[in-house]
Amino acid sequence: MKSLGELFDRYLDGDLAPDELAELEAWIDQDSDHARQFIEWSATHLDTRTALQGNALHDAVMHVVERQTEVSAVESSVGGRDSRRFIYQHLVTAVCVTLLISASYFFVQKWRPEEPTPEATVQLASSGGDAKIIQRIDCVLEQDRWSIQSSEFASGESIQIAEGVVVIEFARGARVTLEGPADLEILSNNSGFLHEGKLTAVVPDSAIGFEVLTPDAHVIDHGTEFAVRVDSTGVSETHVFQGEVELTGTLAKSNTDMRPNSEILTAAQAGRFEGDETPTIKTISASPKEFIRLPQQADASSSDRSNITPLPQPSDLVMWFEASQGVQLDAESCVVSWQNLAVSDASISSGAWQINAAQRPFYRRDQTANRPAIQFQGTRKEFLATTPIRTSDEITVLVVCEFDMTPGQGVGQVLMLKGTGKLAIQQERDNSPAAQVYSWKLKELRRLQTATPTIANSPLVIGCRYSLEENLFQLFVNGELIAEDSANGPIAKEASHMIGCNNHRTKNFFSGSIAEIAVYNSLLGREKLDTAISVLMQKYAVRH
Amino acid sequence: MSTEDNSHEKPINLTVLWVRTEPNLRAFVAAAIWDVHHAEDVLQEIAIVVSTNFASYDPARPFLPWCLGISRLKVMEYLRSQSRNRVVLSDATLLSLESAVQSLSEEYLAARRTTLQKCVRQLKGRQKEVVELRYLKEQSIEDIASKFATSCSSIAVTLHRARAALRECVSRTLDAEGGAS
Repeated sequence: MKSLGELFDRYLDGDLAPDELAELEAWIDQDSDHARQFIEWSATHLDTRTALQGNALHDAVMHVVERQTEVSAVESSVGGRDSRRFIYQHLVTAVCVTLLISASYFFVQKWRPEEPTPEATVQLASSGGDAKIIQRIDCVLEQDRWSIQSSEFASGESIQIAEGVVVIEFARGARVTLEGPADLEILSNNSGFLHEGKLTAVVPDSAIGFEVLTPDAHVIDHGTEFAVRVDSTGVSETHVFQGEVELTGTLAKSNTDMRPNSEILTAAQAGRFEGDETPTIKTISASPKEFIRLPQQADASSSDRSNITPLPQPSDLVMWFEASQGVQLDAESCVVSWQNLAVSDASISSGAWQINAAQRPFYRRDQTANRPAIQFQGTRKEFLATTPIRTSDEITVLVVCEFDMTPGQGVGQVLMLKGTGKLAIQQERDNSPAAQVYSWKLKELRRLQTATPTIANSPLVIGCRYSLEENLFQLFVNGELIAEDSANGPIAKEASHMIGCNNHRTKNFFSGSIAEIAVYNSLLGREKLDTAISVLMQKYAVRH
Repeated sequence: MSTEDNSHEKPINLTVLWVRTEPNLRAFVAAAIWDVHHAEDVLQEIAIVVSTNFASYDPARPFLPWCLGISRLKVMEYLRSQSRNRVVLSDATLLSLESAVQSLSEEYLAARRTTLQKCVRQLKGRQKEVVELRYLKEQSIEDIASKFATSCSSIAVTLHRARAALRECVSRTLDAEGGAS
């Protein structure tokens, strides 16, 4: 075996055979100290030329200075005007020397300021995790089954999800939506190994080059959004939604004659490796609907901004779902997520989700007054769970929905706000709309209900006002005050609320469609409530 | 703060950040690209991309990893262009090097560079000549051998000894000065 120094020097001269390079690489990859040493030696190699140039320049300039000094020394003996000329020439030469020496380097330490500004603070060594979980969506992490773990992960650690979705942010900015069941190993602050499961990655400019490794492939992002899935046998597929990625098969290193099979995939393309002996890339069409993406990256074609409702006092909205906005569908046109329009901060997703494909409600584009709506059949136990949203003891709820008049069906809960007391908007057994509040503290249920059943296949605008301060609980249907009672204790809480079932997800599955939900964390005055209801009734062609 | 004030601060911050980060980027590029001429070219390209995209950099995040991401892409572009003609480092090894370069302090790398300039002056005789012809004049081993009327292997050995001497000088000097990282 040749000495390492010999190998390295021949590498510097581009004189290594493939097997010799493989030997050198094996040494580098074996130990981080080896990698550091290789870097130091390489830096010395590159800097040798600069050092020689700097020394040569310095020598040349100093020669000029010495010559100038000799000449000027003779001239100064003449005196007067010549003295001033000597001083000027000496100053000019000194300035030139300084500039030339400084220019001998690409960027020179001399230009570094004494005191770094706060903005200039640079963190060269990683001080925290390489990745952290920034959001959980109806998720069970394996590591949390038995104890509470940190949400920060360093290189070498794994994130294993039994079910649900987590959003992971790598230290360099790449955001990954990981869908369980899944096993993602953090490799660095900008790379991970997906052993099994599905992920979608959104890569900002700061994380260019974000990489995902799988058992059979290596994906390098060239910007901006892509997805990878790995099945239980280790076979992976890569789908590109925006930008491009480089997909490479994880073949043997360069000590073989065969170069790794590599291809650039662009938007709307997908690729997977096929073949056992010499896997080659098969290019197919990308399938974005097979992956869960954060709502702001949802398919733009399913949103129609002109249908958003001009509700009064929008700053008080804490929950606002509108079926033509921010709905993410899967391949079966079922609802994966529904964006909460009341949250304007795009840094964290807020919405209603259904991770389990079998329990996703359908999306109907022409349902309520020829407008989109989310349809719940009840028999499939469909529901959506919101991300944690804080409600208060002063609340106004508006729901636009249609009831399925299926005979013999039980209570169906349209909206369940899970607080210290539970407030629900629901369909009763006789198909009439109702609102109820159950107080755990008082062990008491208060229900407001209309005596008049609804008309089949006719949309309703259901309104509810609840105020602990004013001791008020009211139910409105299509603008008419149907029933009222006193408040039933506090209901405020930050929780995941349910659309289409009870708080335990076990019963009272709603059968019908929901077009819009608006929840205010304030008690709308009667006039503004009437305005809101009127706007909704007009929008959805609801008759009085 | 007005937009005008922010635009005045940005170039200053970029310069400060670049000065601190450049030794590590330079070391990474040097490790990946043995041809010093091309390495300098790629480093120039990296500086341009960093400067062009600096507006998108989030100052809350470390600057070096951001630059290294750009550097790796540029290095990989270059290596892909060379891979048909010569053997190049694999992606996995580049990852190892990228990880390792982040563990080296810029002060240490800068000190190595300063020390090297002194060590180069200590080269004498044939070693000095060969190094100057190879690095300054960018002559091939064959051309240098022809100039000295000797064999390529003889020049290769001289070059190897000169490089080893420089590496040894830098390490010994830094150890003596307590300048190890």
